[in-house]
Order: sequence, then structure tokens, then C-alpha cells
Amino acid sequence: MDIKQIHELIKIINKSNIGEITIEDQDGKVTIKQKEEKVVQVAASAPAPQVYNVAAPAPAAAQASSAPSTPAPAAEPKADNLVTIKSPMIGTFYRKPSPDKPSFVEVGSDVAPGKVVCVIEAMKLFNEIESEVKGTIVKVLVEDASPVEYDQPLFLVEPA
Amino acid sequence: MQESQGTTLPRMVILDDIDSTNLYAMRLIQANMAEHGLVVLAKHQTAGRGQRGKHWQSLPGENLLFSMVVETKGWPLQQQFIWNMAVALACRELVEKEVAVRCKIKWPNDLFIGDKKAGGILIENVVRGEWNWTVVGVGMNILQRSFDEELLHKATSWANEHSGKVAWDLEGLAIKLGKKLIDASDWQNRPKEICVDYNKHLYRLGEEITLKNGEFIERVRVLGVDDYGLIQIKRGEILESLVHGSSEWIV
Repeated sequence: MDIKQIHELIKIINKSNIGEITIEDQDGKVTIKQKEEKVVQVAASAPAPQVYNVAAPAPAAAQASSAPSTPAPAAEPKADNLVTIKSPMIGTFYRKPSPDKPSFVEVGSDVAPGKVVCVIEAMKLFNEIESEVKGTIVKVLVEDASPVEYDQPLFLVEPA
Repeated sequence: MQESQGTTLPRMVILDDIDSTNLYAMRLIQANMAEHGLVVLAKHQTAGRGQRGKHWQSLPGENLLFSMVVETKGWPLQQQFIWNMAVALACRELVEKEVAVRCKIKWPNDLFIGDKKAGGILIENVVRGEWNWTVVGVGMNILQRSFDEELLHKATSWANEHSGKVAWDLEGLAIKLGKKLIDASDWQNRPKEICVDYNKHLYRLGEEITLKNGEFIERVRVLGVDDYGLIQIKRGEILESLVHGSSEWIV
């Protein structure tokens, strides 16, 4: 393998969800290992494009579905009286209006219909998501700046 | 409300100085004081924004700093990129008509004359269970003649590109743009046509562009943009679709 081939290989792996690969030929052996945080980072920048019916599969799509950072809301212990605020769309979830501003809501924040709880960005379009219920935020289910799917639970609210 | 040739003129709020016209419009919506078709125009803004906090260069009274509130009840949230396409096309048409130069759309929603940015669009939506409102922010360099060293090769204005006499009035332009956007709000009747038009006027369509992704810089060919807003590229012999934000496009 020449340096150009190795470079190409790194590029491909960088865009895939392959954690580690070893290739051996007559000239020697090359192992390429991907950093854990790199895997997460790639996933965060790809808001689940597979749902868009992508003709040519983007390698990042596989990443988004298998990324360890994807929260598992199903595993959350859920009290019967809690209301879930769900994502109305595919995109990237932001808890702050801009990186230097405080979060729209925290655990313990009171919300009411019309209160903005987060922004979901898709393709540079920004959507302010408002609460439809009155109550108190008891859990934030998604990390700031991570990809969300349609209908994915975002917050748990204890209704007032 | 004034009427002219059967079309209602957009109602307009004109501000001398504001943080940003989009923020102002969003606050009106929050306070239940917004109405369909309301235009917010500012002579100067102190916190004009591009994408999530990126600043947009503007000098008092020289440029179009515009936002319009449009009611979106019943609009399908999953197809909002088509609305973005319709807005970009409306802005592009205005530029071509007024400046008499070619204006292209750089994916997803910048307005380019030649290889320089002449304007940008920032769409912010309010979702209360359903898509309730959209605020279309448009920043356009109109009369500005000089640009910072750093922006000189990246930005331009109508005045710098127009060969004829320069006589634009910003309020008049805001009314023209407002009318075009109201016309564009029927986008659900012609999504295919809008998508075709958008691609027809896409900056660098069919050409090679430079993408930067972390350490890697690569050349890829632009094949088009689909109706969900993904850009289709050809990397070597491989076809791929990219979401916005996954790589940086170096102009």
C-alpha cells in the first residue's frame, strides 16, 4: 500500500462506522483505529438522513442509527402522569438559542403552552419548539446538539 | 390598510435600530402581536445573524434588513425545505430584475452574484404542535460600496454589481420582496416545479467544489439538491447525499 491508498482508506473509514480495520499485504500491515469521540461527532452532524429516502446511501446514515450516543428513551422509567414533549421533525436538537446563551429550559423549569423549550435545526432552517402543556420539566432526554428523529421524546413534563 | 391594483400591500414596521429583524418578529409572535404578511424593516441591526450566531456585515441605511411573518397553519413541517427553495427563488428573482445580473442560489440559501455573496436568508419557524409561523429573514447588500479586507473577495452588493444608475429605495424593495414572498407561500401547489427551478439556479451545479471536513479537503462535483434539502455530490465515482453542516464548502 502506498501513502495515497492509506490516505484514501482513512477518508473512507472516517466517514463510516468502522471502529478499527487491519489490512495486510506483502509489504506489511496497516491498522486504522477510529477514536471513540470521532464516531460520536460524525453522528452528531448527520441528522438521520436515512429517513429522507436518500437514493445513494450516505455512509453517515448507518452511523446515526448505530451511534452509542443515541439516547434510548424507551429505557427511561416513566411515571404515568408525565407528559412527553416529542420532536415534530428530523433535525439537530439545540437547547440554547445560540451557543453563548443559557438553555431555554432546565430540569425544574416551569413551562406553559407557548413557552419555547428547544430549537430543532434541519438544513439551516430553525424551528422553535413550544410546549403544549403547563407543568414542570422533570427530565431532558436528549443532549444538546445531537440528532433527533421524528417523534423522538425530548422532555418529560410533570403537568401542573 | 392600503390597496394597490387589487393586491394588499404588506403592512410594515420600520425601525431605526434593532438587535435583529428576525428576533423582533419572533418576539411579536411570542407576544401574540404578529399578523400574516407583516414586514419588519430596519435601517441598522446590532445583532444581525447568519447561521447560529454568525455575523452579517451591515452599515446603517445601506442594506436591506428585512423579515416577514407568514402564517403557516396546515403547512407540512416535513416539507419545509421546499418553502426554503421558494423563498430563495423569490429573492433571486428580485436581484436579477433589479440589478440586471445573474444571481445564483448557493445551497442551502445564500444569494450569489458571480462568486460573491450578495445576500443571505435566515428562516425561523414557530412550532406549537404544528407549524404555526415562519419568519423569513433576508439580509441583502444593496448600497454598500466598501467591504472589510476579510470580506472583499467574498461579499458584494447590488451597487457594486450594477452597471446602471443606482436608485434603489429600501422601503420600495421591501414591498416588492414582501409581495413575492406572499406569492411564494402557495408553494404546496407546485413543489416539483420549485425544486426544478431551485436546481436550475443552483450555484456551481455540475461543477467541482471544495469541501472541508475536519483535516480533509476534497473536491467533489455538485449534482443537485433534493426536495429534503440534501445536496447530491459525486466523490470520485461514488454518489453521495450530504446534510447541511456535515462539511464546510470553501468558495
